[in-house]
Amino acid sequence: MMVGGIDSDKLVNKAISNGILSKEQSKQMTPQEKLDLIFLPGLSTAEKVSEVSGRGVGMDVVKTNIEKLGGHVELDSVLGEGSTVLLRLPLTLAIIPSLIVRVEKQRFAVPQVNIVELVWVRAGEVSKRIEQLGSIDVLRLRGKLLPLVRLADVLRIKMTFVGDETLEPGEERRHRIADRRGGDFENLDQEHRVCDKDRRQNWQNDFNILVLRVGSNQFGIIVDELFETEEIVVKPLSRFIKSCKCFTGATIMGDGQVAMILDAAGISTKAQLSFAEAETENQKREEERLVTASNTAEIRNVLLFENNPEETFAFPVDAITRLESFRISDIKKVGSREYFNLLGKSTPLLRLENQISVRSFPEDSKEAFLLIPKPSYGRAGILASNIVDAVETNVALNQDESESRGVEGSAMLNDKLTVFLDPKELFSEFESFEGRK
Amino acid sequence: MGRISFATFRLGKQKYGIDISKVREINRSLDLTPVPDALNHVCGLINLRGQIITVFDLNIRFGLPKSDITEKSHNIILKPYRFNSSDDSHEGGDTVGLIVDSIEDVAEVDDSEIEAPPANIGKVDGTFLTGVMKTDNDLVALLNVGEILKQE
Repeated sequence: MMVGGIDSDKLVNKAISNGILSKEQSKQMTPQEKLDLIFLPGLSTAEKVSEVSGRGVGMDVVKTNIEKLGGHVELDSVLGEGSTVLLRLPLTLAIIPSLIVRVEKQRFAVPQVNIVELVWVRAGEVSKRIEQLGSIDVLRLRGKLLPLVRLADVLRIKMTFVGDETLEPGEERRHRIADRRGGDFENLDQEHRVCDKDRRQNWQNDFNILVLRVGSNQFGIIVDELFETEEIVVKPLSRFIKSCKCFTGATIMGDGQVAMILDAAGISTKAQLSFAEAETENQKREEERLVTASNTAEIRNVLLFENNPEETFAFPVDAITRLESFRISDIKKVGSREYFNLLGKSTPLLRLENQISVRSFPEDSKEAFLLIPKPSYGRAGILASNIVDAVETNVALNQDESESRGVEGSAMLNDKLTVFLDPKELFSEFESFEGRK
Repeated sequence: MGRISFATFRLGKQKYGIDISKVREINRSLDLTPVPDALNHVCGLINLRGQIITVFDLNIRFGLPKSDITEKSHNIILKPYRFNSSDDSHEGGDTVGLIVDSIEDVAEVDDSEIEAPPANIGKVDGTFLTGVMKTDNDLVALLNVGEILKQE
């Protein structure tokens, strides 16, 4: 009788009787790991051995060959129903766009296909955004928890840091990601950071996090520095380093140096990331969120930013394409209009204080951010002195008829009065206003 | 029955020889990119004219302390080596470089002059050697390339 799906217990028994697995090991295995036994060479649950079946070769060959091409195989199966085999193959086999990152003195290439997003956590926010969940560190990212590892830890690269006073590199002493050094970074104010001398030191304590995707799981790795994306030529690894599962290949950089290409799947295996813990926690929080959400109508995904440090604004995330950080001195003026050169295009600058009745941008700032909206909303960039956070919220807005056009309403968010902007209104107002000038 | 040429080099004080027909080139490309978490004796990768080559630290391979890279250090690039191949062509094998402390000269010996290796020379396991030969004032240990490139 044909029954769909893979009997993972049968696999485990077979593996134990073949001596591949011990009984103790099998008890600690997750259902997925049990299922993945099918990829081991020499394992077959077929009762009858014929010329083609029951030799324990099939899935092993599939996995080896797919991985040889730089892809990977995922297996999902429900006993009695059926199995899904997911083959992921890279688009091109020879040249892949990759992001170059640095850890200590080494550069690594991370294939873009594995990267979901880049997250920058400032030193002062580390303890707020990175938590410990059981044995793992997790990053709080838009309300979701993401397992987090330091790439240096996974690759066992000795970590150094530049001492606060001595400026001499020393061996890293912190063990947990959320552990902080003595300095009081929490209260580091923003003006302090802009000062050139201090900035480098403080930036060193910021975290550059790459959110990587492996199959349906995501996790974050911390690197020291991010460089550009490059198209790299993948060179296979010699068999002497094939055993390092963290790499899929090597490449030669523009300066002739060799850089290793990181393998997201290998890193997550090596780091023994447990997605289950974060997943359960996420589900729990998601349920809580839904319960609260059902009470109010709308969930907003907003970016919080400041124009004047006294006031916080919320702007819908889905109306933004990117954020740009720049120096105030780079602003070009034509008459009373201001422009900023963004990727070769002059982009009009929208100052909130000119549109709605709010306090003005601090005069003494040297650096600022620009919120670039999606073209369907408008083409002006909104000036911001500071980006606070991206949050999901379901607060009810206080709407007031007397609000200026461009403001949707206001609400208390994290004990701060936050003005919610209406992008459509704001930009149409700005454009008609500019046209009058 | 014939004469074999050996490229000789030193690791510490001990002199070694490697069959010159197994050597592709000897150079000073020592700009190594370390491979984290690789085998101990794999000290990194180099870019040799666009080809990525795995480089071994011969000292570590022999169970000795790590080599210091000095101005005398050299990289002996071997011809691609393939195991269990019946033919002599080296197509498809991996190219490996060996870091040595200093390069000496080429010594030519009659194969009848090569003696069986002792169980060990200094602290080096005899299995890494195919034999020893005497020169005027030195004992040269001859490398067993296959054994060195073998993976446990």
